[in-house]
Amino acid sequence: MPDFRTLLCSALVAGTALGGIALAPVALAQPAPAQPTVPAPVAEQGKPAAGSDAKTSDHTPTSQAPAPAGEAAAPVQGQGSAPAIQSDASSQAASTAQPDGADAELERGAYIATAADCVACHTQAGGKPFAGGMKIATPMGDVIATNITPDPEHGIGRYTEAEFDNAIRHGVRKDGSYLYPVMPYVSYAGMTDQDVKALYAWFMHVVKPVSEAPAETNLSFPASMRSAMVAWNFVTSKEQPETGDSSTYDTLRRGRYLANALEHCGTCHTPRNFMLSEKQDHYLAGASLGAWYAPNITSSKTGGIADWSEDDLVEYLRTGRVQGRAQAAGPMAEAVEHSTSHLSEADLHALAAFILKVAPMDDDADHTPRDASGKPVEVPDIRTKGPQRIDDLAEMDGPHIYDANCSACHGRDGAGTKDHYVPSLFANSTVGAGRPDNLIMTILKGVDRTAGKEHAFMPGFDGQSDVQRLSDAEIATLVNYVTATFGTGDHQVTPELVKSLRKDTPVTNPLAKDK
Amino acid sequence: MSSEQTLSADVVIVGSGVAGASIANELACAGISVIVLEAGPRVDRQHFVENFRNLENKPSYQEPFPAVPWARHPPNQITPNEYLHTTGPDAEAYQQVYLRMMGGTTWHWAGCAWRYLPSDFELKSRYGQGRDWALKYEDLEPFYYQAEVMMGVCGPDPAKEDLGSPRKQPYPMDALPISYAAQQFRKLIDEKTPWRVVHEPQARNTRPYDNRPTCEGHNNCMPICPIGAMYNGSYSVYHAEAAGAKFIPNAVVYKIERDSANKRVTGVQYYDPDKQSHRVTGKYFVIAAHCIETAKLLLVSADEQSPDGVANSSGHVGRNMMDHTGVQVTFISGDKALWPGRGPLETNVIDNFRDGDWRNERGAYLVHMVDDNQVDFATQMAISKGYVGRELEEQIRYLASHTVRLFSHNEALPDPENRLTLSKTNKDILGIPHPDVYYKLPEYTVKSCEHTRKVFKELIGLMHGTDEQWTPGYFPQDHPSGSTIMGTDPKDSVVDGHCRTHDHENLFIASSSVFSTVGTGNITLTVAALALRVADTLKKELLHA
Repeated sequence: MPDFRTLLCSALVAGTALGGIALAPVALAQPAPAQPTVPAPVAEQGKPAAGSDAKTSDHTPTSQAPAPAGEAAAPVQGQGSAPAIQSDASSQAASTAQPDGADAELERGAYIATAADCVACHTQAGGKPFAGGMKIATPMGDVIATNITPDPEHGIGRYTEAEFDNAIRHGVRKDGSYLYPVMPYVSYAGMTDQDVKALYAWFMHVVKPVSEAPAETNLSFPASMRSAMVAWNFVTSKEQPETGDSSTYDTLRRGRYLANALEHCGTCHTPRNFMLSEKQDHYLAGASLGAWYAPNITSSKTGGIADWSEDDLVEYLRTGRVQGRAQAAGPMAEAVEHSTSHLSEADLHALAAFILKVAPMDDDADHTPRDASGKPVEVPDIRTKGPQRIDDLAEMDGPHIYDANCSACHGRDGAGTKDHYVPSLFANSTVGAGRPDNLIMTILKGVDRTAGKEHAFMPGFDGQSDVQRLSDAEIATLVNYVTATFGTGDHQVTPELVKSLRKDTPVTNPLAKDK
Repeated sequence: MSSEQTLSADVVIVGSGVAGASIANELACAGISVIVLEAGPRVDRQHFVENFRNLENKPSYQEPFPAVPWARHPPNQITPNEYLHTTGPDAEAYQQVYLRMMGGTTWHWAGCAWRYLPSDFELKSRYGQGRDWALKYEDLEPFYYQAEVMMGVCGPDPAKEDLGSPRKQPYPMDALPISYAAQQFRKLIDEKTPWRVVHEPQARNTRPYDNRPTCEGHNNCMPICPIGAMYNGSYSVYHAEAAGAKFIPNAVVYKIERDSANKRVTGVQYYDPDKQSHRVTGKYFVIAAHCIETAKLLLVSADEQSPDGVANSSGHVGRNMMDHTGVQVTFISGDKALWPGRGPLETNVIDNFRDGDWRNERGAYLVHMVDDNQVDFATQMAISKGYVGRELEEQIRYLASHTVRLFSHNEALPDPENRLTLSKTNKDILGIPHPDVYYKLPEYTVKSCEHTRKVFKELIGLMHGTDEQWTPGYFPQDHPSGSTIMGTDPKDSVVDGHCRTHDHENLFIASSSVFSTVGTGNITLTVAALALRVADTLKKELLHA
């Protein structure tokens, strides 16, 4: 059978947000909950999430406040949201300055599009918004995102609302063929009728039509058989549609809606079974995306993020970084940049409150909180020799590779910069993780994340770097030095592991290239 | 002794600094086959960072780059040195340093990316001095902008701070923030003098740009930016390679071959480090090997057809050597602490003396308030004053925070007597002669420097300065230029307005060696703009042939 897991993972690595699948381990036949119920995998009712901040909302899951989402959680309604172009439709639905019905619907649609991160796949770097063309590499060929502008020829201009709904929530195109699950319809299946309607209105009336046809996806057999998706769709659990007005949900229901129907956290963070469906008994317990690793974000005290407060998580989702805890890079940086940094303050709190209540799952590799290790180091004197000839590119030892490539920004003692633009390497989830994958990937690919006014940037050190190209052996040596010095110990990373994560041509010895 | 295999490409480029590499990248991106021959090795940043940190003599920006024996460069800024031998009344004023390796000398520049003023191209017709270039500012303007985009140049909003070189587009990046020391200096100049301090345009990131990070102000742009925030020619080499150009390091070109009519270049020959000879043929050739090495290569290629050297029917190859030889003073301000050394090295300039009617008798100049860390200087001064123990520590702190360093770029004029020749006595391991340079500072520049000294003395007075330390004589700025001078008349110039040699229709030169005059701003951006214009010419001729 097609290796959908690889396909899915590859798509994620390419910066694609996929659909979250079912939250609850429900059978397909199970009816959708008509009323908000206790979200299945959250912490025990009434027990506050570890580390949650007293000033933020802690509604019990059964509370049924009719006010807009996060009413108590939001410091001030309509304020404090990221300077996004999108309006905060959900929080404005009940605000005093009520737009008329059509405007309100378009605002809601814009917000849903952002929260569901449509742009991530359907816009190429430097391309026109939603005109498609982005190649999502998979072992079976490139899945090419389609033009979803309202252009009648090349886009979705001729889709009726029902056909749009059929694609969004059921994975069936206007022509009746099946979408590949790279399109996260299994997640969007959880959207309310009202939100799908608003999304349709926004795409049809606000998105500018682009008369360009991206290339057709052409996968190798058997993935080329779109009909094979019928079988997969049958066995894969889908998010069940929510009901009513999603902007009026109480905090945890809103958080659950955001996490599953829109942001689809589980797509990356929940491991999958042999059928590539998410293992719901391991909800958000961490999964490899092939190269990057989406860590365990359950409330486990040893393997998860139980030591995070709701405010920490809100800050992380809004900015992509929390000093002393973690920074978003790779696919998560894109999710922050395109989606979570644009969420309203109320929604950020709702999402965070929900995530922090997810049932704890201990981790195979992380046995202490990932951000709890390390401290500033006493810097040894490594000045033992004079300048070497310019063609001496011999591999250096760990302390020297660190000194030459990392210390200028992260400090010789690993403390980062005082303004935290450059994070410390101790008390840092990427360094303290039991799995070195994300540290290796960060060194290879760097960090490039814009959220609000901050453009966080670290150059990559892979074979395309203009700053410095490090070999597999140099990166292995560096990672082992960094984890031994600032993390939980020498991870014994081998050059082969670095090579397997590196997607480009390794430059092992630049001189060898010239001979 | 030739290798069996002859390499060939549409365009063969000698040199991989900003000029050669940017041409290679432009042509390769246009689908033109390119070979870049670099005398020095492939290098990387991390080893230079370690070399710098291991270096005892931190102010030396040349010593972290010990040369390979087959492509020597000056080992330090000291006269005499083992490679570049200078003679004449102002021999020490022409002790230039540069680097021979992938990326060239931009490994240790300060990133100053000035456009020349329109008047700089017309010194003869406007002021009756020197020469006019065979092109005008307007001809170069689009290429200046292209170079700024390529290198990533930050600079001030022209509406707020007009630097005198008309722009059609804003700078690719916003200007650098002003350091504390520079703020103090600006305030003084604003309040107490008729002059002004402007943001120096810099090929340095003030935001993430071209997959490189924002400048963090490590203050060692020279000798090495540790994070790649500053432009370096190696980026263009990487980009050219990614676009398909072939880069051959350790290829020391020693011979430029021509056809029987001596009108077209047919190939070049290079030695590898083992002195095996290799031949490379092509349709076009670009020598982009730095002012000194370019002239040297044309001269060593002398043969029966061209007994004075290739492209040298005018006899001007190696002549008209110029620089921004200037004045330097360091002193201790009697006013409040400045704490220099926080931010890039060179960010603030007094630009009032870049142009004026007085240019009919003395050279223009610009003044740098150098924002470099002064702990080394302060420590030496405190020790020389006899301080010990806690007092020594206090003195170092006081002096390092109060030291002011000023230097100037003073305009030279092209004088044929200021000349590069081949050494008759010193040769490298491949048997290629070292360069010798005779230098006498033009009277025009001497007068300019006298004016600068007066201005510096006035500034020292305004800052209640003490402990003045004037650099003896004149201060070389490592901006050598003029050795293959541009002009319209083949009898007294080497290249035309498109940097094509008058003698050989398919031979171009991309270097500060083509400068007809040297203006006052750092030369690199003009080198890059001229190079991109050469690439444009080559593209037109190759793609529309």
